[in-house]
Formats: sequence, structure tokens, C-alpha cells
Amino acid sequence: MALNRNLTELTDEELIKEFQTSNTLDAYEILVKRYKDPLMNFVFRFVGDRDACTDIVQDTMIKFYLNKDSYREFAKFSTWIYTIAGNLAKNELKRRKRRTLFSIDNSDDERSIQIEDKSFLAPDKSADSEIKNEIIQRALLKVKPVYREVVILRDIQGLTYEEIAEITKLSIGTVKSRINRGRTQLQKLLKNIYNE
Amino acid sequence: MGINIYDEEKQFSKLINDLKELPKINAPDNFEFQLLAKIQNGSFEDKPIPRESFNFVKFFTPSAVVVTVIILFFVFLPKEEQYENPLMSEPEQIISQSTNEMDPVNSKAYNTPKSSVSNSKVNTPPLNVVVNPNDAVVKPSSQYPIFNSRSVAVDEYISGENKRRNTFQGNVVKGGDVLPEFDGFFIREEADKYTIEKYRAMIDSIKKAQARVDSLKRAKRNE
Repeated sequence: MALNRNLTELTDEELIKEFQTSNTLDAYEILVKRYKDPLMNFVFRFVGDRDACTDIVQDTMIKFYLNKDSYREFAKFSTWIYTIAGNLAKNELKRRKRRTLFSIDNSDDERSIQIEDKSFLAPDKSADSEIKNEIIQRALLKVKPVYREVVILRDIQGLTYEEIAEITKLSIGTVKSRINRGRTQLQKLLKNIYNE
Repeated sequence: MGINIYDEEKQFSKLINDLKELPKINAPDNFEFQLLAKIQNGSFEDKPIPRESFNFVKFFTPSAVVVTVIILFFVFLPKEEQYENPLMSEPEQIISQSTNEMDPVNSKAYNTPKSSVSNSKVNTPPLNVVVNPNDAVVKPSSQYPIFNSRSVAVDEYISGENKRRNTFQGNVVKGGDVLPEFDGFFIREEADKYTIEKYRAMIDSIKKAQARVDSLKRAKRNE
């Protein structure tokens, strides 16, 4: 228990080092606890499907478990785990695109929107915000994936430009221009909301 | 640069706020349990995709099929001789017409309907005959089987008055106005002078005999 308390006080990088050197499963579990929700949020906004999102985050954690030695100390753990999750999410989108090409009656419009937990909001407010959130999520899924990814990382996950550049392996300038383009596309798609 | 970013963020401030306010998605309660169960079961193990080794059968079978198809294509390619230029050939309708005219059995003129044949007692081939007011029977030239322009009067030929430019062109039996491919028979040798003189002498003697007969008849009448 004392060991556990000590581990929770460690930074991400210290935890993964512990996991790498001593193969401490507790360190791994703490990292999973820390990152499961942010990754779930990121992947859900990127893919738009809760079930697929859970699978992707689980696969991310499994990859992290299996390839712990491929992590290098000079990188931030958060960027490393976000890179794995982002790649898996992109693969899922590619797989879906291929499936859509061969399926006859598969349209994006018919895909049901996942409804978030709104128990903490007042009923009338929650109804409005629920619709608005649905609209925003739909619009987000219509933005090109290359722009969508950086917009989510910046505006939803709140990462810095440097972190995003590290995750996406792009220059900071490219990240900024992509964020700008993504936001422009999104605003065009949501013009009915923002023109009011 | 900082000013630009600030301006951009200001431009999209509403949108950025809405994105930040989007409800957070949390992992399901049993997420860790499922994950650890997967890890302990080891069902996730990354199995390397086995690379297929070069297979001779898999490679040569399709290539052999392709080569065979190419060879067969060239073997059975239609030759130029068999090819009929549609622009050079006679239209089908005209061919059938001309063959009908040439073929007495199948020609229209001879091919009368069955009903008419049964009605008539004698099954005579109907000739295209034109009856003049003077009751002289004339066959239309188009149905005459000899090609007039190239026919020869025997008397003129014997007397030597008929001089033909090309001795290798024989008389042609033809059907209708269309020249058949068969060019008839050739007269390869010209009649010699001796034969001509002989026949002339015979004709002269016949004429003289006729003149004598006439003179005798006249003498009898005068008596």
C-alpha cells in the first residue's frame, strides 16, 4: 500500500521507467488510470463511435504494455501514448472507409450519435446543449481527419502546439496551419449556430 | 506570430469555447478489468503475419495460362485472305438477284408458285416473251442468255468479214445484264485461207446452180 502511494506520486515518465526496469504492473495500472479517460475522449471525438473507441483505447494500452521498451526517456509519455492511440484511430477510420466503399447502403447520416452523460445539467438546458453537442460532433466528423486530429488535440484535449507537433510528427508551423484550417472548416459547417 | 495566433483564437473564440465545453467521455467502469483480463489471457499477442514464400506453382500457373492464350490468339487470328472487305464486295441483295437471274432453277421466272403449277396441266417454264402487234415474237434482250455485244454471226465469221480485236475473248453466256465470272470458251485458232476459199467456191457454185435453175424456169414460162 505504501509502495502504491509512492507510485501515485511519481510522474508519468518515472512510472514508465519503473515499469520498464522492474516490470511493476502497478506502475502500468496507474498510467492506465491516468490516461484511459483523456484517450477515450480523444478517440471518441475522432472516430465518433463509443464501442470502437473503447476497443481502440484498450488496444492502445495493450500496445503500451507489449512495447514498453520502445518508449525513450527523452519523449513525454503523454505524447507517446497519444501517438499510439492516434495511429490506431486512423487505422480504424481507414478500415471503415474501405468497408463503406464495398457496402451499398452505408451512409454517415444514418449513423447514430452517441449521447453523453448529462445528469449534471438542468433538463431544459441539457436538451439544448445535447442537441448542440450532437451538431458539433457531427460537424467534427465531417472535417478532414488530418485537420480533425489537431483541432481535437488542441481545443478539446488542451495540448500545447509543441505536444501536438510531437504527436503528429509535424512541424509547429504545419500544426498551426492545420488547426486554423480545421477550425475554418468546422465553423463553415456550423455556420447556422454561429450566425445567430 | 503570437499576435496572429491571438487573432485566430479570437476569430474562433465561440467555436473553441464550445469545443472545450463538450462533455468528457469516460472509459467504462470495467475498462481496467477487461484490459487486465486480456493481458493475463495473452489473447492479444501480436502474431507476426507470415510472409508467403515464393511459390513456383502459384507463379507459373497464371503465367502459363496467359502465354497459352496469347499463342492461341495468334494461331487463330483471322488471316487477310479470309477477310472480306465490305467496301469491295457486292451488296448481298444484288448478288442474290444476279444469281437468281443466272440460275434457271431458282430464278424468279422459273420459280412459279406451287398453286399455279398445280392448276396448269403442263409445267412449262414461263419465258418472258413480248408480243408485238404484228404477232412477231421477240425475246427481251435482258433475258437472252448470249451477250449480244460479244456474239458472232457465223456467216460473217466464215466469210472473214468479222474481224475481232482480241481472239482470246470468246463468246459469253450470261444471265441478265451482269457479267458472270466465267468468260466462255476460246477459239484459239483462226480459220485458214484455204478453208475460206473452199467455202466461197461452194457458195458460188450454189449461187450459179440457183441462177441456172432460175433461167430454166424463165425459159419454161416463155414457152
